[in-house]
Amino acid sequence: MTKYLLAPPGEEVLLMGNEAIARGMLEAGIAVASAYPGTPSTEIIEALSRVAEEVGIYVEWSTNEKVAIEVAIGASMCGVRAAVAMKHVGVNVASDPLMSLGYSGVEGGLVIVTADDPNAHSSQNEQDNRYYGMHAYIPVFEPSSPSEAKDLTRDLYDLSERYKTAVFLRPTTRVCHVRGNVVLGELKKPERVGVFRRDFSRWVLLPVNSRRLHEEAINRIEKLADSLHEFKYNFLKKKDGSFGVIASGIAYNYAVEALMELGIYDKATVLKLASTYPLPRKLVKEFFDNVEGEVLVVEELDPIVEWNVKVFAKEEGIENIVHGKDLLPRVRELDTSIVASAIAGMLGKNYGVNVYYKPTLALPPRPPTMCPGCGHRAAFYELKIASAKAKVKAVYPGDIGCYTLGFFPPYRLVDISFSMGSGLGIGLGIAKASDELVVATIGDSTFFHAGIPALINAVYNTTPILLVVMDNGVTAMTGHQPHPGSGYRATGSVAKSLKIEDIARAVGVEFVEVLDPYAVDASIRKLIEAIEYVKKEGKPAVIIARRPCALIVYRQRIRRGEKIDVYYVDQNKCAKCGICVNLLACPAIYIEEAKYFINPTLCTGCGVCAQICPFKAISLRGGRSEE
Amino acid sequence: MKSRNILLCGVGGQGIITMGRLIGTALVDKGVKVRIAEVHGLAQRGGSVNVHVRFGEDVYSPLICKGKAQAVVALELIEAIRYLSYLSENGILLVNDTLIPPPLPKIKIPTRKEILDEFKRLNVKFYLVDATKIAIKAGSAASTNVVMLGGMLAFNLLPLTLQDIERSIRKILPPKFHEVNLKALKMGFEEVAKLKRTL
Repeated sequence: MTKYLLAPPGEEVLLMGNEAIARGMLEAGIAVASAYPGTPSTEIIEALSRVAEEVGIYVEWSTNEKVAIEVAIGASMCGVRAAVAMKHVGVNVASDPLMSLGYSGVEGGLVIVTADDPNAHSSQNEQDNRYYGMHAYIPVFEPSSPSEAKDLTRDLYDLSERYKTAVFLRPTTRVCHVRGNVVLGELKKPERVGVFRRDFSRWVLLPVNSRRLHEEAINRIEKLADSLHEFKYNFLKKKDGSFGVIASGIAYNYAVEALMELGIYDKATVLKLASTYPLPRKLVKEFFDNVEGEVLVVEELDPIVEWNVKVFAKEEGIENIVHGKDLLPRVRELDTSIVASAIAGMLGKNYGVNVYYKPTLALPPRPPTMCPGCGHRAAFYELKIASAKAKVKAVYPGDIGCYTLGFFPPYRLVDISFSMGSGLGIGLGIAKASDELVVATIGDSTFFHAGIPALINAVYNTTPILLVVMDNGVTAMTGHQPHPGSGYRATGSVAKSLKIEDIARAVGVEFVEVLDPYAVDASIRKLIEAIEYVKKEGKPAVIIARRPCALIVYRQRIRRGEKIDVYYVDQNKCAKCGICVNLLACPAIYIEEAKYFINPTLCTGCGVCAQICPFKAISLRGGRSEE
Repeated sequence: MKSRNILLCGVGGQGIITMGRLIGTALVDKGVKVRIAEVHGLAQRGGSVNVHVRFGEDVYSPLICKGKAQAVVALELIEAIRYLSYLSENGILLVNDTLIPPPLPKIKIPTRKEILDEFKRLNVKFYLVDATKIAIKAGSAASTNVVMLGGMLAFNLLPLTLQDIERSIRKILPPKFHEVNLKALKMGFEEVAKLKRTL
């Protein structure tokens, strides 16, 4: 990883879009980078964290996106170049300081990466963050490929400083997680130590300053709109003018290939946009000067470019018919076939997609699952049994992380999944508005991110609720980034490890217990005790189900060359009751010809299945030979 | 070079993303334009995974459209069926002869025979590879992906030689895993070349 991210200029390498963005930041000489991990943005800061020491820059995983953007703003106020990255919904968390940043502007160049996720591959929604640019008067730039993402990121730092504005770089999943050829440029030595540039007129947003800054922010955007035609990532390909296409970001690629597929690439006048807010006015005007016929705006999600183009056209007295979301979907992601159909529709041509092989065999779904040996699985099993034994029918608000998978059968212990930290908060409302017992689950990283204020609220307002913290020691779902409880930082250096039980006790929770989900019976007893405490006392209780992420532990053991003792099913003892498959559902246990087996290459030897088997049919076998 | 589309698929954890990286690195080293679309995050945890590999001068989009893949390379039988609609007319399906049932309670899992019958009914040009078994012979089941990559070379699905992929392996994988994967690559290539001859 380190090797190719720092490879010498001129070299052509295969980079993932996110790595390319990280390289672009290094070519711009950033000094500070911060983020809270979130798909599809994570690999940007992760890549930087691996080279931070070598390059001499500061990189951190922040507690949440609000703190991350504040760290970057502070760096920029000291005149150094800063980067902050987050997934689209992370910007919601960061939006409060973001709105002020739109007014204040910056000193050192500041690029905010908002990695949007059309199709919600790994997110709770498909929100289009170009609105945030318009909302906060912060210009938005959309890269179309890994290669362009690198160069654009680098050049945005110059633009940011020239106009003294923060900028949004808005890649989408199909840029972030696409690998492509990237030609590397010169690395710029970072100016690491800045000096705080005191400026009351910009950094102190009292009304007297805010009113003036609001006007300045609008003027900044106007100035950009009049100069962005010179920005090389916006360009116009002129042709015969019988029709035109305007395309932005990743959608540009679909538009080009769609035109090729329809055999009309050489005829089309195409406006390729990187800056979608504000629009490069003069270039849009030039585009319309060269198109007589109809125009299609190709963009994913909301019609931001389409609306702005239509407003501009109206103001300029342009009369071309402009299509967009009347021919293209406003949800999910686009591809070449979808865009080809839309262009064909506009031009009255025929275009059909041929699918040659259409299987009719019924397939089982294959949702993601918790890994073999995952402590969350054991904890969900125990919570289910404890609820049954305590004879409660609870409401189970969940949260965002690997443990959201507790939604799927057989667990079904996630009734609500909204946004980071919201499970507990919404649970508080349910507990106050009904007689329901509420048992909320949250991960360790999410607890630090947004769970603590809601827990304080539960104590303050005396809300009866059980919070089960699924603590595996890292931000696991996004690829094992450390957090304030992990004991180390983004670059691997040792850090103070904050204990969730200490925080819970410190904010006034009176029932706080830590359990090991691998110890099944003891865990069930503690959970029952906690449920009964909440019912009897009417106060909040916290259980911390702690087991390090099984995937990390497994990898460490393999690396150390340890033998892993695995379990097997004794066919003579197995009564085929199905409890192991139907209640625990570990991916290592499978059924073949009505018999139960444990796959020795998947089993990690956690022993939970052996504890729950009523017939004691599961026991330990010697080490795995294959590894 | 005309643009080529190959869809890789299987179950999260089988090394499908690594396969894409090995191919992509070798292609970039040869100066070929490439775009590879991957799935990261939650979906990687034992879920259905697909990687779109596209290369050639005219490649812009990172996504393969349905009916446009010259080959589908599947590391698992159920997933082969799931992504079959991507295959172009007369495209080939290279599939690892392994069935991994999703760990869900009370669901119906198609049998190997039902899946093979479906391939036949649809008249798919399919080739079964004992990739997991070959990988175990080479030293580790974890190299199943590289065995399949050897198989792809035997079918000339890539403008690459064994040496090109060997270089990628040395470049990308940790040194500890070089030997087993170099062996898996060669065995995959040879076994599939043999299989191809007997067809």
